[in-house]
Amino acid sequence: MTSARSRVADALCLVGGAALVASAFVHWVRRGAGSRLRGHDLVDTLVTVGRDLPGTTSANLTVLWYLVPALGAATWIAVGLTDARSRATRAVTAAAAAVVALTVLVFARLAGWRDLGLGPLLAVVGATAIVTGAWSRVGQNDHSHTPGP
Amino acid sequence: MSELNDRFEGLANRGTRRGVDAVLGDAMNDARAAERGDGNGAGVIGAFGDLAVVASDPIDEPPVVMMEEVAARRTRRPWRTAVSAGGLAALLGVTTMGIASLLAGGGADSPEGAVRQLADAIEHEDPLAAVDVLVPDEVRSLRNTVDRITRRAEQLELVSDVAAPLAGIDLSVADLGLRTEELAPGYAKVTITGGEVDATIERSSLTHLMQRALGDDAPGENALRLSELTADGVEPFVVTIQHDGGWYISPAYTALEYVRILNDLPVADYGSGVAASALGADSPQAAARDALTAYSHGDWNRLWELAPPNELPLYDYRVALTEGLADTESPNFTVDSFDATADVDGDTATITVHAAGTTEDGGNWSIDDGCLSIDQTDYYGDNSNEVVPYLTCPSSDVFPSVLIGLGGYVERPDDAYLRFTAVRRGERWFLSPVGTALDVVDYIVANADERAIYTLFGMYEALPVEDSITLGEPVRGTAAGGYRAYVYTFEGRGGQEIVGAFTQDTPNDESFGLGTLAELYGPDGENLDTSYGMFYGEEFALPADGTYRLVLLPYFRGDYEFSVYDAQHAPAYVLDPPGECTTDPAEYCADHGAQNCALLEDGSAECTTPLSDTSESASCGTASDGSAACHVEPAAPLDHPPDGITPTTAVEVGSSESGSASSGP
Repeated sequence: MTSARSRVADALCLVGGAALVASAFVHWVRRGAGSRLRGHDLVDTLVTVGRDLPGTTSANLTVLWYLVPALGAATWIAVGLTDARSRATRAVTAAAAAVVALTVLVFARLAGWRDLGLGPLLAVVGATAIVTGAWSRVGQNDHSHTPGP
Repeated sequence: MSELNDRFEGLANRGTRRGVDAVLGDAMNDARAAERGDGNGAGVIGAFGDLAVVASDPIDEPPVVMMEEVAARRTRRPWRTAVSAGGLAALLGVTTMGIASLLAGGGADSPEGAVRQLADAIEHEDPLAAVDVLVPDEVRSLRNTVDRITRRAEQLELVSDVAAPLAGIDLSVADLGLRTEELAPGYAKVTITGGEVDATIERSSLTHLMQRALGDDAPGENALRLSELTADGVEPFVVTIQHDGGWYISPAYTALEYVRILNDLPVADYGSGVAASALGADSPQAAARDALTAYSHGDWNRLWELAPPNELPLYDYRVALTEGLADTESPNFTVDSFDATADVDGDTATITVHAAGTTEDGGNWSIDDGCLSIDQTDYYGDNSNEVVPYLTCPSSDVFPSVLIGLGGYVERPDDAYLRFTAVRRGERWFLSPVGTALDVVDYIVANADERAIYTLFGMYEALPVEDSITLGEPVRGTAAGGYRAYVYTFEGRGGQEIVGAFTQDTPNDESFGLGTLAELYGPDGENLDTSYGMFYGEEFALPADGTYRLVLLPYFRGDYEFSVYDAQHAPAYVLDPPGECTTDPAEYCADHGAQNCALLEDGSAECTTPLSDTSESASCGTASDGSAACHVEPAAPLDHPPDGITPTTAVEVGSSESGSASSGP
């Protein structure tokens, strides 16, 4: 049972990480300005059409957007090197969740909630999955098999 | 606590000092002995003082199992290694994608790809993405202009969201058929052999303003077959060019290629302009001077050299264009003085020109203070055939006021439309037709206001009411110019007949003879009358009691004053206003009789009664004191003027004593 729970946690992190990476390859804006663009072109366009946020620049918004798939990839690395419930994985997933939340909010502000595309949806689903895998009570009993310090 | 420490100390110092292998070996031996029952009692394999060293349960061998587990964990499972590798690869991929995105030049992978990318942008109603697939140098400023237009449209509530300016218009491109033909290395012509564009308007997605503007007759679905867009049998096509590795659609090459093919002109020397190094001029001022000089004596080749080759490739088409202009005479004017100032901002300069010279006929011309002045023979004045300067002042002339009326009369700080944009390519300066045109477009967009937009769509009910009219009392207002409506209300009774009087003050003669159109709306909002007649003695019977709206469309800039009267109480001059003099007064009076227009001894005319025969270009009206002021702006010239010359000045043939000029239709 505990081994199965551990596998579920690993699987959630892997699927969630993959969703975060995949979000970089789909459109974040469903229609209108930027709907055909990704990455810095997308951010540039959205900022160009006037929905810039105070205190932010196109450059740091672009970095924020690329952090989403990057943290998805980092989740895979952490799970592979340790496991879904290790401190490293938890740290990565926490960072990923924070970045996804911020990025989606920023894009919702830039493009409008109604016009958000598949990208933000994948990112939110992915972030939810990795946080569930790393932080929830799924596989918690695995600690009985984990050697002490 | 100290007792526990003592015990730990005892454990640590028991036996003799040995290596770790010896300790572990002895421990294993003791454990096996305990399993065989060799110890002291069940499971007891040794003792230190009162502390017994107890063997684990035979089924559960904590020390041994623990060591094996540690060993097992240190041996990574293959799938975890694969996951780590996959994550690392993905991280590298994302990083590479980010860097490539920052360094990428854009464009499509192929000529056809560029066209499909444009179709995709159209289908997703993304105008900025559509601009991105056009040659960057040709549309360098277009992106900003599109952006300004969409922002302004949002401010004016033409669109609900600047990020989706075409929301409500559902476009789709289907079955796109393309055929590519290479024109030269890096230049390809993509012919559209098939496809259909469908456009559907969803009223609910449009702004409230647009829904009202469309009314109940909003178009439904419209389909356009692209293959049917032929011009003189030429299939629709676009020219694509390769730029920084990507393929882009070139509007300039496409337009010039159409001109070349439709006029059966020689093939272009594709790319020769970009390759040539001696084109352009040393400075923005030199570019402007060279262009004016070249134009003055028809040196077309020099003109082609002054257009930026990567923005408007006239040089590539020089043979074709020069051949096409072979039968065109040069303007033949001299440039006797030339002075230009350039406001340089990076690789862009704005040039303001002051120049003068003589025309082919010996007259003078000049560009100064935002006006182009050319001596022309006056075919309309009292002294026929006199040579007088005709001014074309874009900041106040009919061209911007009517053709680009949305921009109105807001004058530019430099008081000049006559300014040009120059761009630097390398170390050479070129005149930029696109930049110059977009500069004007930007100006118009910036000055389009709600009043202009509402007027354009005929949505007068959305305009604020300027004032409430009391019948018989004068109302004053100021017209900003352009095509802008002003709304007034008054209370009327069913059966009541009304009539109006209107005067205006246009100090710079910016009336253009177009007068003021009046539209009357009843209490139920129905349009009852749209004409110039209300202010020219025509009485109008109101159908019912209620509040009426009078919409004025003054085609001038300046102050105005008007009154609406109950016809029973209207002054005589309002009911019987001066007539109109539409052509030469003597000729007019001869045609219409002295009862309408009297020719005075000094050659001017005095009009005393309304005429049934009105002319759109007439210019007569009533001053506030009831006197008449007449101007002649003939609809048709008495003689044929030079080609392309349109008179813009009015010649006064009759005047009021008050000197308050007024004009009508």
